[in-house]
Amino acid sequence: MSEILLQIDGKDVKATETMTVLEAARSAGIHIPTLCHHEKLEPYGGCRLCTVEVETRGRARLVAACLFPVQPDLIVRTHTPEVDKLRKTIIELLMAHAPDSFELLDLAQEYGADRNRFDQESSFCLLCGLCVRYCNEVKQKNAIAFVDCGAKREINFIPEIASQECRDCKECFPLCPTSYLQAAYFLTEALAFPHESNAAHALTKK
Amino acid sequence: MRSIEGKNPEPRPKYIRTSVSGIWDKPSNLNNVETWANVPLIINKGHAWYTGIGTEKSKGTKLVSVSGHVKNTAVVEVPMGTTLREIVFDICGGIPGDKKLKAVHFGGAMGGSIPENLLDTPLDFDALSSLGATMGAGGMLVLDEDTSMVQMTRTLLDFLSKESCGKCVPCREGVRQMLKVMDRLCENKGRPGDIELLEDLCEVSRKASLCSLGRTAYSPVLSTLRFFREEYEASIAP
Ligand code: SF4
Ligand code: SF4
Ligand code: FES
Repeated sequence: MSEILLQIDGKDVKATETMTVLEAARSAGIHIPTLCHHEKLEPYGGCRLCTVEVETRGRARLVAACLFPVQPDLIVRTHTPEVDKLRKTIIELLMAHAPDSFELLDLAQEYGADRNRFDQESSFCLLCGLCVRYCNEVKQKNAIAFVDCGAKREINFIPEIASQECRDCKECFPLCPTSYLQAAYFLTEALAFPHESNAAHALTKK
Repeated sequence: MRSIEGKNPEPRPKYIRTSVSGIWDKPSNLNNVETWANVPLIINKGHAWYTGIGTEKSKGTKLVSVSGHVKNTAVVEVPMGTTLREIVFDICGGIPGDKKLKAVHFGGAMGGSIPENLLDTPLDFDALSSLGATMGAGGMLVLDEDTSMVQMTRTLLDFLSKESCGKCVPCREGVRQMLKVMDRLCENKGRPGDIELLEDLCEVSRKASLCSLGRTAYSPVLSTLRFFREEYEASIAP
Protein backbone atom coordinates (compact mmCIF):
# COMPACT_ATOMS: atom_id res chain seq x y z
CA MET A 1 0.00 0.00 0.00
CA SER A 2 1.48 3.31 -0.95
CA GLU A 3 2.28 5.90 1.61
CA ILE A 4 0.83 9.36 1.44
CA LEU A 5 2.33 12.47 2.89
CA LEU A 6 0.05 15.27 3.99
CA GLN A 7 0.12 18.18 6.36
CA ILE A 8 -2.22 18.58 9.32
CA ASP A 9 -2.04 21.76 11.39
CA GLY A 10 1.43 22.43 10.09
CA LYS A 11 2.68 18.97 10.97
CA ASP A 12 3.86 16.46 8.35
CA VAL A 13 1.79 13.32 8.65
CA LYS A 14 2.30 9.97 6.94
CA ALA A 15 -0.81 8.02 6.06
CA THR A 16 -1.83 5.08 3.95
CA GLU A 17 -3.95 5.44 0.88
CA THR A 18 -7.22 4.19 2.32
CA MET A 19 -7.21 6.42 5.39
CA THR A 20 -9.55 9.31 6.03
CA VAL A 21 -8.29 12.65 7.26
CA LEU A 22 -9.67 11.78 10.69
CA GLU A 23 -7.72 8.53 10.86
CA ALA A 24 -4.55 10.23 9.70
CA ALA A 25 -4.97 12.97 12.29
CA ARG A 26 -5.57 10.48 15.08
CA SER A 27 -2.53 8.45 14.11
CA ALA A 28 -0.50 11.61 14.51
CA GLY A 29 -2.07 12.46 17.85
CA ILE A 30 -4.09 15.38 16.49
CA HIS A 31 -7.56 15.61 17.97
CA ILE A 32 -10.62 16.29 15.84
CA PRO A 33 -13.96 16.20 17.68
CA THR A 34 -16.52 13.63 16.49
CA LEU A 35 -19.94 12.46 17.59
CA CYS A 36 -21.19 9.99 15.01
CA HIS A 37 -17.89 8.29 14.24
CA HIS A 38 -16.98 4.84 15.52
CA GLU A 39 -14.00 2.73 14.42
CA LYS A 40 -16.08 -0.38 14.00
CA LEU A 41 -18.68 1.28 11.83
CA GLU A 42 -18.83 2.58 8.29
CA PRO A 43 -18.27 6.34 8.10
CA TYR A 44 -21.57 8.16 8.37
CA GLY A 45 -21.01 11.89 8.10
CA GLY A 46 -24.09 12.89 10.09
CA CYS A 47 -23.01 15.14 12.93
CA ARG A 48 -20.57 17.29 10.92
CA LEU A 49 -18.69 18.13 14.09
CA CYS A 50 -15.51 16.83 12.50
CA THR A 51 -15.66 19.55 9.82
CA VAL A 52 -12.17 20.76 8.93
CA GLU A 53 -10.66 22.94 6.25
CA VAL A 54 -8.67 21.21 3.53
CA GLU A 55 -6.61 22.81 0.83
CA THR A 56 -5.66 21.29 -2.49
CA ARG A 57 -3.90 23.18 -5.25
CA GLY A 58 -4.45 26.44 -3.45
CA ARG A 59 -8.20 25.95 -3.07
CA ALA A 60 -9.58 25.67 0.43
CA ARG A 61 -12.89 24.08 1.34
CA LEU A 62 -14.72 22.57 4.28
CA VAL A 63 -15.16 18.81 4.50
CA ALA A 64 -16.07 16.17 7.06
CA ALA A 65 -12.80 14.67 8.28
CA CYS A 66 -14.38 11.30 9.02
CA LEU A 67 -15.26 10.86 5.34
CA PHE A 68 -12.64 12.75 3.40
CA PRO A 69 -9.90 10.50 2.00
CA VAL A 70 -6.27 11.55 2.39
CA GLN A 71 -4.49 12.76 -0.72
CA PRO A 72 -0.86 13.54 -1.38
CA ASP A 73 0.10 17.06 -0.35
CA LEU A 74 -3.26 17.78 1.22
CA ILE A 75 -3.14 20.61 3.72
CA VAL A 76 -5.56 20.21 6.63
CA ARG A 77 -6.48 22.82 9.21
CA THR A 78 -8.44 21.38 12.10
CA HIS A 79 -8.98 24.69 13.87
CA THR A 80 -9.77 27.92 12.11
CA PRO A 81 -12.11 30.63 13.37
CA GLU A 82 -14.61 29.52 10.73
CA VAL A 83 -14.42 25.84 11.65
CA ASP A 84 -14.68 26.57 15.37
CA LYS A 85 -17.73 28.75 14.82
CA LEU A 86 -19.47 26.02 12.83
CA ARG A 87 -18.73 23.49 15.56
CA LYS A 88 -20.07 25.86 18.19
CA THR A 89 -23.37 26.26 16.33
CA ILE A 90 -23.64 22.50 15.76
CA ILE A 91 -23.15 21.86 19.48
CA GLU A 92 -25.76 24.49 20.32
CA LEU A 93 -28.23 22.94 17.91
CA LEU A 94 -27.77 19.54 19.52
CA MET A 95 -28.01 20.91 23.03
CA ALA A 96 -31.57 21.97 22.31
CA HIS A 97 -32.30 18.25 22.44
CA ALA A 98 -29.93 16.88 25.03
CA PRO A 99 -28.79 19.71 27.29
CA ASP A 100 -27.34 17.37 29.90
CA SER A 101 -25.35 15.01 27.74
CA PHE A 102 -21.84 14.85 29.22
CA GLU A 103 -20.23 14.68 25.83
CA LEU A 104 -22.03 17.80 24.74
CA LEU A 105 -21.31 19.63 27.97
CA ASP A 106 -17.59 19.00 27.53
CA LEU A 107 -17.72 20.13 23.93
CA ALA A 108 -19.76 23.18 24.86
CA GLN A 109 -17.08 24.22 27.27
CA GLU A 110 -14.33 23.73 24.73
CA TYR A 111 -16.10 25.74 22.04
CA GLY A 112 -17.84 28.31 24.19
CA ALA A 113 -21.27 27.08 23.13
CA ASP A 114 -24.39 28.37 24.84
CA ARG A 115 -26.68 25.48 25.69
CA ASN A 116 -29.70 27.77 25.81
CA ARG A 117 -29.18 29.50 22.50
CA PHE A 118 -32.06 27.55 21.01
CA ASP A 119 -35.33 26.80 22.72
CA GLN A 120 -35.24 23.48 24.51
CA GLU A 121 -36.99 20.73 22.68
CA SER A 122 -35.81 17.74 24.58
CA SER A 123 -35.94 14.59 22.56
CA PHE A 124 -32.67 13.42 24.14
CA CYS A 125 -31.63 11.71 20.94
CA LEU A 126 -28.98 13.34 18.76
CA LEU A 127 -29.76 11.01 15.86
CA CYS A 128 -26.07 10.21 15.60
CA GLY A 129 -27.13 6.79 14.40
CA LEU A 130 -24.50 4.94 16.42
CA CYS A 131 -27.05 2.58 17.91
CA VAL A 132 -28.83 1.95 14.62
CA ARG A 133 -25.62 1.35 12.73
CA TYR A 134 -24.04 -0.78 15.42
CA CYS A 135 -27.02 -3.07 15.50
CA ASN A 136 -27.09 -3.26 11.74
CA GLU A 137 -23.40 -3.49 10.90
CA VAL A 138 -21.87 -5.30 13.85
CA LYS A 139 -24.71 -7.36 15.32
CA GLN A 140 -26.67 -7.60 12.07
CA LYS A 141 -29.92 -7.77 13.98
CA ASN A 142 -31.58 -4.49 12.98
CA ALA A 143 -33.46 -4.29 16.24
CA ILE A 144 -33.39 -0.52 16.11
CA ALA A 145 -34.06 1.76 13.19
CA PHE A 146 -34.65 5.29 12.05
CA VAL A 147 -38.21 6.21 11.26
CA ASP A 148 -39.47 9.21 9.33
CA CYS A 149 -37.29 11.85 7.78
CA GLY A 150 -36.26 15.47 8.08
CA ALA A 151 -37.04 17.19 11.34
CA LYS A 152 -39.40 14.34 12.27
CA ARG A 153 -36.70 11.68 12.27
CA GLU A 154 -36.60 9.43 15.34
CA ILE A 155 -35.10 6.15 16.43
CA ASN A 156 -37.31 3.25 17.32
CA PHE A 157 -36.83 -0.26 18.56
CA ILE A 158 -38.61 -2.90 16.53
CA PRO A 159 -40.45 -4.66 19.35
CA GLU A 160 -40.52 -8.08 17.66
CA ILE A 161 -36.77 -8.15 17.16
CA ALA A 162 -35.85 -6.22 20.29
CA SER A 163 -37.66 -8.70 22.49
CA GLN A 164 -35.56 -11.52 21.05
CA GLU A 165 -32.21 -9.86 20.86
CA CYS A 166 -31.75 -6.87 23.09
CA ARG A 167 -32.07 -8.28 26.56
CA ASP A 168 -28.83 -10.23 26.34
CA CYS A 169 -26.97 -7.78 24.18
CA LYS A 170 -27.38 -4.13 25.06
CA GLU A 171 -24.02 -3.53 23.41
CA CYS A 172 -25.21 -0.33 21.80
CA PHE A 173 -26.14 1.30 25.10
CA PRO A 174 -22.68 2.59 26.01
CA LEU A 175 -22.26 4.07 22.53
CA CYS A 176 -25.07 6.54 23.01
CA PRO A 177 -23.89 10.07 23.76
CA THR A 178 -27.06 10.69 25.79
CA SER A 179 -29.06 8.50 28.09
CA TYR A 180 -31.86 8.31 25.59
CA LEU A 181 -31.14 4.90 24.14
CA GLN A 182 -31.67 3.07 27.42
CA ALA A 183 -34.80 5.07 28.07
CA ALA A 184 -36.18 4.25 24.65
CA TYR A 185 -35.43 0.59 25.15
CA PHE A 186 -37.18 0.36 28.48
CA LEU A 187 -40.11 2.26 27.11
CA THR A 188 -40.43 -0.17 24.22
CA GLU A 189 -40.09 -3.06 26.58
CA ALA A 190 -42.73 -1.68 28.86
CA LEU A 191 -45.16 -1.00 26.06
CA ALA A 192 -44.62 -4.20 24.13
CA PHE A 193 -44.29 -6.69 26.99
CA PRO A 194 -46.05 -5.20 29.96
CA HIS A 195 -45.76 -8.41 31.95
CA GLU A 196 -42.10 -9.16 31.51
CA SER A 197 -40.43 -5.83 31.61
CA ASN A 198 -38.55 -4.46 34.60
CA ALA A 199 -39.88 -1.03 33.97
CA ALA A 200 -43.45 -2.27 34.07
CA HIS A 201 -42.70 -4.15 37.29
CA ALA A 202 -41.31 -1.08 38.88
CA LEU A 203 -44.40 0.84 37.90
CA THR A 204 -46.92 -1.70 39.16
CA LYS A 205 -45.11 -2.85 42.28
CA LYS A 206 -45.98 0.14 44.43
CA MET B 1 -29.31 6.14 -6.76
CA ARG B 2 -29.42 4.80 -3.24
CA SER B 3 -33.10 4.09 -3.75
CA ILE B 4 -32.43 2.09 -6.90
CA GLU B 5 -29.88 0.08 -4.95
CA GLY B 6 -32.66 -0.68 -2.49
CA LYS B 7 -31.08 1.31 0.32
CA ASN B 8 -32.34 4.19 2.43
CA PRO B 9 -32.80 7.30 0.33
CA GLU B 10 -29.98 9.21 1.98
CA PRO B 11 -27.03 10.85 0.32
CA ARG B 12 -23.90 8.75 0.08
CA PRO B 13 -21.39 9.75 2.71
CA LYS B 14 -18.51 9.72 0.27
CA TYR B 15 -16.36 12.23 -1.47
CA ILE B 16 -16.46 10.35 -4.76
CA ARG B 17 -17.89 11.59 -8.02
CA THR B 18 -20.74 9.54 -9.42
CA SER B 19 -18.99 9.66 -12.78
CA VAL B 20 -16.27 7.56 -11.15
CA SER B 21 -18.34 5.36 -8.90
CA GLY B 22 -22.09 5.67 -8.75
CA ILE B 23 -24.85 3.13 -8.70
CA TRP B 24 -23.58 -0.32 -7.72
CA ASP B 25 -20.13 1.29 -7.73
CA LYS B 26 -20.24 1.71 -11.52
CA PRO B 27 -19.66 5.05 -13.21
CA SER B 28 -23.05 6.70 -13.50
CA ASN B 29 -24.50 9.70 -15.24
CA LEU B 30 -27.31 11.36 -13.39
CA ASN B 31 -29.09 14.17 -15.19
CA ASN B 32 -32.44 15.87 -15.47
CA VAL B 33 -34.75 14.79 -18.26
CA GLU B 34 -34.52 18.32 -19.62
CA THR B 35 -30.78 17.96 -20.00
CA TRP B 36 -31.13 14.65 -21.82
CA ALA B 37 -33.79 16.13 -24.09
CA ASN B 38 -31.21 18.56 -25.44
CA VAL B 39 -28.86 15.81 -26.52
CA PRO B 40 -30.65 14.54 -29.66
CA LEU B 41 -31.16 18.12 -30.85
CA ILE B 42 -27.49 18.87 -30.47
CA ILE B 43 -26.51 15.67 -32.25
CA ASN B 44 -28.91 16.27 -35.12
CA LYS B 45 -28.38 19.97 -35.65
CA GLY B 46 -24.81 20.33 -34.49
CA HIS B 47 -23.23 22.17 -31.60
CA ALA B 48 -22.80 25.37 -33.62
CA TRP B 49 -26.55 25.65 -33.99
CA TYR B 50 -27.07 25.03 -30.29
CA THR B 51 -24.40 27.39 -29.01
CA GLY B 52 -25.71 30.07 -31.36
CA ILE B 53 -28.63 30.41 -28.95
CA GLY B 54 -28.25 32.00 -25.56
CA THR B 55 -25.65 34.14 -23.83
CA GLU B 56 -21.91 33.91 -23.79
CA LYS B 57 -21.77 31.41 -20.98
CA SER B 58 -25.30 29.99 -20.82
CA LYS B 59 -26.23 28.29 -24.06
CA GLY B 60 -29.40 27.00 -25.58
CA THR B 61 -32.91 27.37 -24.29
CA LYS B 62 -34.47 26.84 -20.91
CA LEU B 63 -37.86 25.67 -19.80
CA VAL B 64 -39.19 28.03 -17.19
CA SER B 65 -42.29 27.18 -15.23
CA VAL B 66 -43.94 30.41 -14.28
CA SER B 67 -46.41 30.42 -11.45
CA GLY B 68 -47.73 32.69 -8.73
CA HIS B 69 -49.22 36.13 -9.27
CA VAL B 70 -49.15 36.14 -13.02
CA LYS B 71 -51.92 36.22 -15.61
CA ASN B 72 -50.80 33.17 -17.54
CA THR B 73 -49.12 30.50 -15.49
CA ALA B 74 -47.29 28.29 -17.93
CA VAL B 75 -44.17 26.36 -18.76
CA VAL B 76 -42.38 28.41 -21.39
CA GLU B 77 -39.29 27.66 -23.38
CA VAL B 78 -37.13 30.73 -23.86
CA PRO B 79 -33.64 31.30 -25.16
CA MET B 80 -31.07 31.87 -22.43
CA GLY B 81 -30.54 35.58 -22.03
CA THR B 82 -34.23 36.50 -22.11
CA THR B 83 -34.82 38.95 -19.28
CA LEU B 84 -37.04 38.06 -16.36
CA ARG B 85 -39.16 41.10 -17.16
CA GLU B 86 -39.84 39.78 -20.65
CA ILE B 87 -40.93 36.46 -19.23
CA VAL B 88 -43.31 37.99 -16.70
CA PHE B 89 -44.80 40.80 -18.76
CA ASP B 90 -44.36 40.00 -22.46
CA ILE B 91 -44.80 36.25 -22.37
CA CYS B 92 -46.99 35.64 -19.36
CA GLY B 93 -49.14 38.74 -19.54
CA GLY B 94 -48.12 40.53 -16.35
CA ILE B 95 -49.72 40.65 -12.92
CA PRO B 96 -53.46 40.16 -12.45
CA GLY B 97 -55.53 43.05 -11.12
CA ASP B 98 -52.94 45.55 -12.36
CA LYS B 99 -51.00 45.17 -9.17
CA LYS B 100 -47.36 45.98 -9.00
CA LEU B 101 -44.71 43.33 -9.13
CA LYS B 102 -42.64 42.94 -6.00
CA ALA B 103 -40.17 40.21 -6.83
CA VAL B 104 -39.71 36.90 -8.55
CA HIS B 105 -38.41 33.93 -6.70
CA PHE B 106 -36.27 31.96 -9.11
CA GLY B 107 -34.88 28.45 -8.84
CA GLY B 108 -37.47 26.69 -6.72
CA ALA B 109 -37.32 26.28 -2.97
CA MET B 110 -33.54 26.43 -2.94
CA GLY B 111 -33.48 29.49 -5.17
CA GLY B 112 -33.50 33.15 -4.36
CA SER B 113 -35.72 36.19 -4.70
CA ILE B 114 -34.95 38.95 -7.14
CA PRO B 115 -36.59 42.31 -6.45
CA GLU B 116 -38.48 44.26 -9.10
CA ASN B 117 -35.67 46.76 -9.71
CA LEU B 118 -33.38 43.97 -10.89
CA LEU B 119 -35.93 42.38 -13.18
CA ASP B 120 -33.98 43.21 -16.31
CA THR B 121 -31.54 40.50 -15.29
CA PRO B 122 -31.10 38.04 -18.13
CA LEU B 123 -31.71 34.35 -17.74
CA ASP B 124 -28.11 33.27 -17.31
CA PHE B 125 -26.43 31.00 -14.79
CA ASP B 126 -23.89 33.56 -13.66
CA ALA B 127 -26.28 36.48 -13.58
CA LEU B 128 -28.75 34.59 -11.41
CA SER B 129 -26.17 33.26 -9.00
CA SER B 130 -24.63 36.71 -8.54
CA LEU B 131 -28.03 37.70 -7.16
CA GLY B 132 -28.22 34.72 -4.84
CA ALA B 133 -30.73 32.84 -7.00
CA THR B 134 -30.10 29.69 -9.02
CA MET B 135 -31.27 28.38 -12.35
CA GLY B 136 -32.38 25.20 -10.61
CA ALA B 137 -35.10 23.45 -12.53
CA GLY B 138 -36.35 26.77 -13.88
CA GLY B 139 -39.11 27.37 -11.36
CA MET B 140 -40.18 30.99 -11.33
CA LEU B 141 -42.59 32.25 -8.72
CA VAL B 142 -44.02 35.69 -9.41
CA LEU B 143 -44.90 37.75 -6.34
CA ASP B 144 -47.08 40.83 -6.36
CA GLU B 145 -46.83 43.89 -4.13
CA ASP B 146 -49.06 42.39 -1.43
CA THR B 147 -46.80 39.41 -0.78
CA SER B 148 -45.06 39.11 2.56
CA MET B 149 -41.54 37.96 1.79
CA VAL B 150 -41.22 36.62 5.32
CA GLN B 151 -44.33 34.47 4.85
CA MET B 152 -43.14 33.28 1.47
CA THR B 153 -39.77 32.28 2.87
CA ARG B 154 -41.43 30.44 5.72
CA THR B 155 -43.46 28.42 3.25
CA LEU B 156 -40.35 27.45 1.31
CA LEU B 157 -38.48 26.46 4.47
CA ASP B 158 -41.42 24.40 5.60
CA PHE B 159 -41.25 22.53 2.31
CA LEU B 160 -37.49 22.05 2.65
CA SER B 161 -37.82 20.77 6.18
CA LYS B 162 -39.99 17.99 4.78
CA GLU B 163 -37.55 17.27 1.98
CA SER B 164 -34.57 17.03 4.31
CA CYS B 165 -33.67 13.43 4.94
CA GLY B 166 -32.67 14.27 8.49
CA LYS B 167 -29.33 12.54 8.44
CA CYS B 168 -27.03 15.44 9.12
CA VAL B 169 -27.23 18.01 11.88
CA PRO B 170 -26.70 21.31 10.03
CA CYS B 171 -29.60 20.69 7.68
CA ARG B 172 -32.03 18.84 9.96
CA GLU B 173 -31.51 21.03 13.02
CA GLY B 174 -30.58 24.18 11.15
CA VAL B 175 -33.75 24.16 9.08
CA ARG B 176 -35.81 23.19 12.12
CA GLN B 177 -34.54 26.21 14.06
CA MET B 178 -34.81 28.54 11.08
CA LEU B 179 -38.41 27.52 10.73
CA LYS B 180 -39.06 28.31 14.38
CA VAL B 181 -37.65 31.77 13.94
CA MET B 182 -39.71 32.27 10.79
CA ASP B 183 -42.83 31.19 12.67
CA ARG B 184 -42.19 33.87 15.26
CA LEU B 185 -41.53 36.47 12.60
CA CYS B 186 -44.73 35.60 10.76
CA GLU B 187 -46.66 36.43 13.90
CA ASN B 188 -44.70 39.64 14.33
CA LYS B 189 -43.25 38.19 17.50
CA GLY B 190 -39.64 38.13 16.40
CA ARG B 191 -37.05 38.57 19.13
CA PRO B 192 -34.13 40.94 19.00
CA GLY B 193 -31.21 38.99 17.58
CA ASP B 194 -33.39 36.74 15.43
CA ILE B 195 -31.97 38.08 12.19
CA GLU B 196 -28.42 37.39 13.32
CA LEU B 197 -29.53 33.95 14.47
CA LEU B 198 -30.92 33.26 11.00
CA GLU B 199 -27.64 34.36 9.47
CA ASP B 200 -25.65 31.99 11.68
CA LEU B 201 -28.00 29.11 10.85
CA CYS B 202 -27.69 29.88 7.15
CA GLU B 203 -23.94 29.74 7.51
CA VAL B 204 -23.85 26.39 9.26
CA SER B 205 -26.25 24.71 6.86
CA ARG B 206 -24.47 26.13 3.83
CA LYS B 207 -20.97 25.24 4.92
CA ALA B 208 -21.32 22.05 6.88
CA SER B 209 -24.21 20.02 5.46
CA LEU B 210 -23.66 16.64 3.91
CA CYS B 211 -25.50 17.09 0.64
CA SER B 212 -26.57 19.84 -1.67
CA LEU B 213 -30.05 20.06 -0.14
CA GLY B 214 -28.65 21.31 3.13
CA ARG B 215 -25.97 23.28 1.34
CA THR B 216 -28.55 25.33 -0.51
CA ALA B 217 -31.49 25.30 1.90
CA TYR B 218 -30.30 28.59 3.36
CA SER B 219 -30.67 30.32 0.03
CA PRO B 220 -34.24 31.69 0.24
CA VAL B 221 -33.56 33.04 3.72
CA LEU B 222 -30.31 34.74 2.84
CA SER B 223 -31.65 36.17 -0.39
CA THR B 224 -34.78 37.62 1.14
CA LEU B 225 -32.65 38.96 4.00
CA ARG B 226 -30.46 40.61 1.42
CA PHE B 227 -33.18 42.37 -0.55
CA PHE B 228 -36.05 42.62 1.92
CA ARG B 229 -34.34 42.97 5.27
CA GLU B 230 -36.72 45.72 6.35
CA GLU B 231 -39.59 43.22 6.28
CA TYR B 232 -37.70 41.03 8.72
CA GLU B 233 -36.88 43.99 10.90
CA ALA B 234 -40.52 45.00 10.95
CA SER B 235 -41.48 41.53 12.22
CA ILE B 236 -39.43 41.82 15.39
CA ALA B 237 -41.60 42.63 18.35
CA PRO B 238 -40.57 45.92 19.95
S1 SF4 C 1 -30.36 6.86 20.79
FE1 SF4 C 1 -28.31 7.58 21.28
S2 SF4 C 1 -26.93 6.35 19.98
FE2 SF4 C 1 -28.99 6.14 19.15
S3 SF4 C 1 -29.13 7.75 17.56
FE3 SF4 C 1 -29.96 8.62 19.45
S4 SF4 C 1 -28.23 9.65 20.41
FE4 SF4 C 1 -27.37 8.26 18.85
S1 SF4 D 1 -28.10 18.04 4.05
FE1 SF4 D 1 -30.23 17.53 4.65
S2 SF4 D 1 -30.94 16.20 3.04
FE2 SF4 D 1 -28.67 16.27 2.95
S3 SF4 D 1 -27.90 14.63 4.26
FE3 SF4 D 1 -28.08 16.37 5.54
S4 SF4 D 1 -30.12 16.16 6.40
FE4 SF4 D 1 -30.09 14.87 4.64
S1 FES E 1 -17.81 12.44 13.07
FE1 FES E 1 -17.68 13.15 11.03
S2 FES E 1 -19.72 13.76 10.65
FE2 FES E 1 -19.88 12.94 12.65
